[in-house]
Amino acid sequence: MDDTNRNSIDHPKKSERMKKILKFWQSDPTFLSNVSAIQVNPASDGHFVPFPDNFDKDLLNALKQDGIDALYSHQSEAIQAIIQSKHTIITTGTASGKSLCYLLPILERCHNNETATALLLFPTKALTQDQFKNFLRLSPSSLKSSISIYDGDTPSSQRAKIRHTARILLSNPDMLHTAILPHHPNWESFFRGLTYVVLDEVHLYRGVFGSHIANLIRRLKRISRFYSASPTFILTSATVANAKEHAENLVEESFQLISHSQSPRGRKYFLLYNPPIIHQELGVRRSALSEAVRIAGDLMVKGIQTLLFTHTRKNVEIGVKLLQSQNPDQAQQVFAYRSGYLSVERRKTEEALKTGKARAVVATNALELGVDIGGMEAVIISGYPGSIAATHQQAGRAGRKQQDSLAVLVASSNPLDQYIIKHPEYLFEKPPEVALINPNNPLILYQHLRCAVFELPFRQNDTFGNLSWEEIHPYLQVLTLNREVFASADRFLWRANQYPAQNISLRSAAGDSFLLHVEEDDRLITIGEVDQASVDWMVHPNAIYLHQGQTFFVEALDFEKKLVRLIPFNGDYYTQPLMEQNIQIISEEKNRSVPGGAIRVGEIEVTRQLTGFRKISWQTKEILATEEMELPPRTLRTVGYWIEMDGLSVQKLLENNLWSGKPNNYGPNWDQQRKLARQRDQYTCQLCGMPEKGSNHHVHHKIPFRQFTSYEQANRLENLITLCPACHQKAENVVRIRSGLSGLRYLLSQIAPLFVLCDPGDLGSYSDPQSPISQGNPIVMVYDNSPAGIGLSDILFEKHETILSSALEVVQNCPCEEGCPSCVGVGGENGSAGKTETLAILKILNGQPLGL
Amino acid sequence: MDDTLLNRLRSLGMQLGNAPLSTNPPPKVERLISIEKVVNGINYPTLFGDIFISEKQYPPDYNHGIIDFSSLPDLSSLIAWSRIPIESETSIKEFVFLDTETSGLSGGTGTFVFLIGLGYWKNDHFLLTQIFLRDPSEEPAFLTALEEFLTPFKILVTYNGKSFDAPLLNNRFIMNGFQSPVKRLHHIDLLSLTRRVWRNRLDDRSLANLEREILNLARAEEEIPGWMVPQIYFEYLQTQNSAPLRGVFYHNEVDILSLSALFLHLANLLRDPLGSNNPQSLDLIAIARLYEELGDYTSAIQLYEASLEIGLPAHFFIQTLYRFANLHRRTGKIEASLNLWLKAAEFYEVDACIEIAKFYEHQQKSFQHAIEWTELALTYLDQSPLPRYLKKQRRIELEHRKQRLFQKQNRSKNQDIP
Repeated sequence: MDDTNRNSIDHPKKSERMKKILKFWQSDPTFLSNVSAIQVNPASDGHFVPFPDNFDKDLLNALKQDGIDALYSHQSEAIQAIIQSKHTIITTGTASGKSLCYLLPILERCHNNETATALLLFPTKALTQDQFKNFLRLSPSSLKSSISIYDGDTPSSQRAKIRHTARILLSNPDMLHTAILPHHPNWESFFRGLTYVVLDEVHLYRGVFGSHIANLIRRLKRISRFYSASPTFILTSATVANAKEHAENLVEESFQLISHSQSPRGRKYFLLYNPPIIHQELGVRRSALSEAVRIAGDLMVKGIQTLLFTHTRKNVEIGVKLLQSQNPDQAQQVFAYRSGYLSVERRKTEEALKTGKARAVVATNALELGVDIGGMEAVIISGYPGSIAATHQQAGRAGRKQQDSLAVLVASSNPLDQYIIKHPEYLFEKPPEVALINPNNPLILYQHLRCAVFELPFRQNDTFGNLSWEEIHPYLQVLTLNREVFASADRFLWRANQYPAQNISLRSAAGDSFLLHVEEDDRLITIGEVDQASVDWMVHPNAIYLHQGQTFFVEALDFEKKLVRLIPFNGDYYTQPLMEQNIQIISEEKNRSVPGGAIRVGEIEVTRQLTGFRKISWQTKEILATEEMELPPRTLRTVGYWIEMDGLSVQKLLENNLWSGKPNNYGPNWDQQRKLARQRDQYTCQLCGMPEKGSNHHVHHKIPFRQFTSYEQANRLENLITLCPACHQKAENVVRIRSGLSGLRYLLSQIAPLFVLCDPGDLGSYSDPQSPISQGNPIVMVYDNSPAGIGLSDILFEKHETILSSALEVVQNCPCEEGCPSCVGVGGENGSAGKTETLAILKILNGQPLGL
Repeated sequence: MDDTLLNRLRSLGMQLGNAPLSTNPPPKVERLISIEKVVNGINYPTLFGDIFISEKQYPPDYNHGIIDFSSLPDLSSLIAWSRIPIESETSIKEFVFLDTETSGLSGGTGTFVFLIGLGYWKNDHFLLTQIFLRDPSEEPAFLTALEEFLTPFKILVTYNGKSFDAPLLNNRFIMNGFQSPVKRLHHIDLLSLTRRVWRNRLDDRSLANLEREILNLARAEEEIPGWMVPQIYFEYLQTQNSAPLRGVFYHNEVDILSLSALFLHLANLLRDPLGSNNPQSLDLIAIARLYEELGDYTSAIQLYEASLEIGLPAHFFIQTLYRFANLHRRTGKIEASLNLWLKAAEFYEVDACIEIAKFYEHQQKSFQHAIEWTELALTYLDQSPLPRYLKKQRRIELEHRKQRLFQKQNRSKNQDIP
């Protein structure tokens, strides 16, 4: 819980500081010209209401001691609804006092009614710890010993006691699934008294994960009903477009929505900032991270506490290093925060933020979740986080009481970022993404019915969530045939000699993480950890690993013991992994012809492998060396659905000049022109000035080759420029031209989740204009992104026609000219998204004439 | 049967077991062989309907393996060990021996009990009552009968019942809306005692193995292994053929008899460990530890002495020297400890040397001796097979000790000089 409710006097000085920095920037034309949009949210005094008259005295005293003597009206509204046993979802933003909305009714009910209990489920252990402290602080003393955490870290010696004494239980969904529900009689009195169930941060419960959670709640409700309890559900969520509907899908009850915050807030500035172009002709911009660091530096100098968000763990470390070297006086007050740090270290940083000891923190979205750090004065987001909701959530970290606050989104050269710079309304006006779940996905439902039979036998006419007996009966019959369930005269009983919940994971692909060991004074100390999925590219042997701004060299990676041995490193380079991805068909299960080609579904294997790494200089960013390094390939065996276009379709597109899938053939004079260009440019990169060393620099077409009709025109020396490989990539980004096929891949990955009700992250996608999978024909594939799949690809195969006709409709009806994030995606800043080409492919696949 | 769902699940990639999936329901057969034809028993009436029970009485001179059921031992030592708040003269008649046969071995709410065996002594006879669940719908009657049969008793004795049978029965009572009578009873789980008594001698402390090793008993051919029990019960439910259940009843009966025999044996062993004609030294040191924890040092000392005399394998010999020495030190007989440490030091024991050094330092104020023993400890440490990092750590400790002793020695010399 944040401290917003506390009644303390605001420091007018702080708002002055914010005005000063804005004025400073305003007078700086080099800054102002980079700001592409400013949104100002006006300040509000908020709306307070007193506590309800009949509120418990002990509780009021505890609140007063904590400095809380009134409620915001939205809190009061939520509390009233909850007390009246209305299922409630609260989506008011960060720092609006969401947790107080459930904390107070729970404490009051449990204090006044000796048998009432409450179950709170948090998605992470850190959040559980946070809320545990809040409960203890506000709880009347008589209740304190009945408040317990029950999670994987709870020592088994304490568990039995907790089962008997806990009345306010803080846990997580995985624990409810494997430890509580399968042993519900041990929790008899807890279930009998169950009055409130809190699900925190439900925006995370979407897609496959959310579908599991929805079934878990069906099981929870079933067991509660067995003990004659019908708890009121209280949900909190970050912004999603369909919060009420999402809550109703998850819990299968009707919900009251509390979305309008009445907490006081200061004025809030939201700036969109596009880094300046550093090479006019090529249109290459300065990197987002270095600009973000520069802005954060300005704020630090003015004494404004700043949080800098970036995408990757490596960027966190680079950001800290840059920021520290820019502000050597305050280097001690710059912190890093990301997954992979030990929890003690993270708690320390959280504490430093709260106390103000930390002046700047560079973080990944690990800090995005409700972790309590209080409000920031300024938030800098380096690079668009990928979704509107995530952007709002990160920006929402800014704002403390009634001070003015600032959020800045610094765009990268990524096409999506550049699109948002040009279309700020996309970010400011469009509703955030929707949360989708499908609790009735047959495979997920089947798994949870197994657990449910184990927990309590099914009898004729029993229901499961909103599913009728007729709907679940076939599943019970399949389970019976599979000899996991026994159908006796009047009930379906569990018969298999195993414990179903144990082998069903709510979250896909967790895996053990690897510990990072450093030898210090002859002792091995653990400085952090890396999740299984990131080991290959983050800590492969000879990699440079960064931790809290310190540099380490990876001496050994032990897959068996799950250990990484690091040694401190003083070199002046870092490393960049080179990964290869490959898709293979294991077996094709079904296929049928469709207009323009064929569609197929089958088992596939996605292989990712580290093949080497680059050493890159910290100072010049030049590539010092490329080394080979092979790690065992990582494979994901799953199910995919793919569209294969036939030769005739490609022919038709080629004839109409709507096919850009062909690799460029630069013409017979290319070798000669390339040499001449390098000679003219004195074998030096024309962007960063680095001379050639060992290998040849690249030669780049300023205006893309594809936009010319003759190679002679394209290869004129005036259109060529010598660039080092790193700069070449930057330049390519600007003029990136996407093919119609990758436009289709993007579009399908965006809309497919709507048809199978999953999260975009549950699906992977892939396209290849000349795929070996289909004898050189172009393919677009969408696949289940979890081991063995959960049948999403199969549904896509069935719904192919509907999906393709909707896809066509989306592109035809999209008002954008050249592609946008809502249709075929976007191309480079001066490139093209391939909208026309995608449209043509879609017409062919829908059996329509090209109709030019 | 809904074929579409089955096919759909399969097409989604679901692995549906190896068992042949027939889409036809199993043929509904009449009761081919009812339980009454296989096991002697009666219908026992309860509020919730009749339940099948089988009762058996054993002759007064019944022997189970080497255990004689007619000579009832003094239970006081076993009761003391169990730490349950009952009189040490509590009669054997207050005890009930329980074992269950279940629909699965994983525990949790998905497992239910279908056969309960209860053993008890009454009028010099050992009696067995088995309660059987003919169909899952009989569970309320089944549990009610159990509650009634448990009424006369105060103490429940099981093997691994604290983590398996008792929670399972509690679950079933709660799931049928009853109060569990199991919670009312004191509970002695022999598993934790056998683990301690035979910790040094038997790696496999399952009841079946104890039966062979300790009770000297072999089961008859009717015996079926425990892991097959759930399968047999479900087969019976499906076919209504009770014949294979005979083996399950037999299995349960022998389990109860062995549990009761083991109880008698342990009561004797704890009461008078040296009483048997062939006492095992490895068991004696285990029981000595038990006595130590109960605070009965006299008996513990007696057992340590006896076991050293009988002889022990090297590892246990050294371990016992240390334990025995510690016990002496705790009871203030430091000289006795010294002798045991000296004996251990003959086996190049680093810790023994350290203890002796401590003795000279603190008791005798003889720093020179203490230094010598510390140096000897350092020498032995070099030869010991400890891992390097541990050696390193211990060497630092020992060097530190040596330094401290030198300082003390110098200080005391200086004091002598004045």
